[in-house]
Amino acid sequence: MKNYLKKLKNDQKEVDLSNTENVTLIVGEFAKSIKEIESDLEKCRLITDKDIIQNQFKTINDKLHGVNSLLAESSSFLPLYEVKNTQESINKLTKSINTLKDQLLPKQKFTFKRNATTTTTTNTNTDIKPKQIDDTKKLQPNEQLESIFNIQEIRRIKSKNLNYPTDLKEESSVENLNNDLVMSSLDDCKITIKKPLNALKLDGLNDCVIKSLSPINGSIFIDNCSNCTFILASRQIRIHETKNSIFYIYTKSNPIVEGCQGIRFSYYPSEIVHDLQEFNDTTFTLQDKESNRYQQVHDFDWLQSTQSPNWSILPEDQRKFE
Amino acid sequence: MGLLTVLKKLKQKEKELRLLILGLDNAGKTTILKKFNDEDITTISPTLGFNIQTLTYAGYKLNIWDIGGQKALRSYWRNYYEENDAVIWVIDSSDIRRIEDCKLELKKLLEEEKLAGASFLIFANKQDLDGSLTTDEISKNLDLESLSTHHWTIKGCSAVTGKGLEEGIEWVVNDIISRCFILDD
Repeated sequence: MKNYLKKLKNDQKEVDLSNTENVTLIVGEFAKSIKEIESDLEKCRLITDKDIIQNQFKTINDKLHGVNSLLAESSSFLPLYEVKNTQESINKLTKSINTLKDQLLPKQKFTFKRNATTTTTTNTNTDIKPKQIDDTKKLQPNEQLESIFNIQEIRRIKSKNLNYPTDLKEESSVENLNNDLVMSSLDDCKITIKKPLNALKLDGLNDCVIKSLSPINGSIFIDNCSNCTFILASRQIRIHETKNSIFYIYTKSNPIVEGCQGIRFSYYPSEIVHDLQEFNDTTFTLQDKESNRYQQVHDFDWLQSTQSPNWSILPEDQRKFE
Repeated sequence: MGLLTVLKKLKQKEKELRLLILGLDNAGKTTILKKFNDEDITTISPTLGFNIQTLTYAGYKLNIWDIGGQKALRSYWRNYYEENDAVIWVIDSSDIRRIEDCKLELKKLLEEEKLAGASFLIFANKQDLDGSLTTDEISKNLDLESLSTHHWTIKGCSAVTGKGLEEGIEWVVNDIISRCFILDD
């Protein structure tokens, strides 16, 4: 079973994400099909012959199946909002089909119970379930209160200006330097990262300035921050539950925000890496504004195509960082 | 649908396996999938919905569904539970802060009736990061040892380097085959 990777055949479904025409086309197709089914359904009411009704329902079900298949196929490139919308319309339609069918064709004695609508109606249940997230800190309950500034972690520090890793107390040779870093519970700090990293996690930062002079060759995960300034470059940026913060970023993929408010984005000041050529990963073309996707933000709380009220682009004349 | 149609359908489908990739956001699900396929992994955006990919392995067609792990998307996971042969649960091994979240979400999955017959591969991803927990540490934190309702295994891997991915997929396919196709002629 060696080298099986080579044998893997790539017959994956390639979908052109950039083509918005496709989206409009397909959304229109959905609307058309749904309308058609609705009018078919109306026609059913006027028919008295049960056999004809039966046939009509068969046609309706075939059409419904077609719409469902189309949705399944296209949902990989349709905006989530459209998928959700269409799914809801389909559910509503399925329900009215079933209701009318029950009305016009009373159930025979021996039928299998259909529960076509259960998939989405149960959705809300997950939210109702009580969440026990309070256990989150179980892993290191005591350590949470300590201040930490080491190779792996910067935690619970107030009003400090630190350079990582140059200000580390311990003698750290290049070999034992971590390729990932976690910062949490920082207040009024300015942290400058002066080494390449593959991952960065930031949690619970208030009134901080976090600046990286080298691109993070992986993902940045930000949670529970407020009133901060971030100056970062990376492959991926995910921002959660963060308020009133400014992001000067370079990112190779679309940044996402979830549960955020008052977030402003601007481009990464590539000039700050000039004196650090050895850290400047050549796969990052920081000066190239074309490849920087800082403006193409996805907001998970705003799935419409209109601009989200939770984030905006920082006007050029308001760019301000030391 | 007559019995003959049912049988015919089964026959057609028997060499097709359906796998579901799930896990918290930032676990590396899409990166694993892209790496399998030898695609560029440097420009992957966080998944807004889901990705589908088809691979063939040892004569089996693997239909792999990769569903976004964002909090907002987790309530949609259940729409994909039907007829899965296996679940690949992906963990960011360096995400110590959310390991309890991870445990709870996995527990919910394991209690799902629709997934009762599925094999569970737990991928302890991001082993290339120095801050990562080992597979043993993750097993302990997720209380995997007490898991007896499903066939399962945990494998360390790195989607960035590709290390461990092959072993994982191999286990999944072999486990499904041994479970489902013993009576094959």
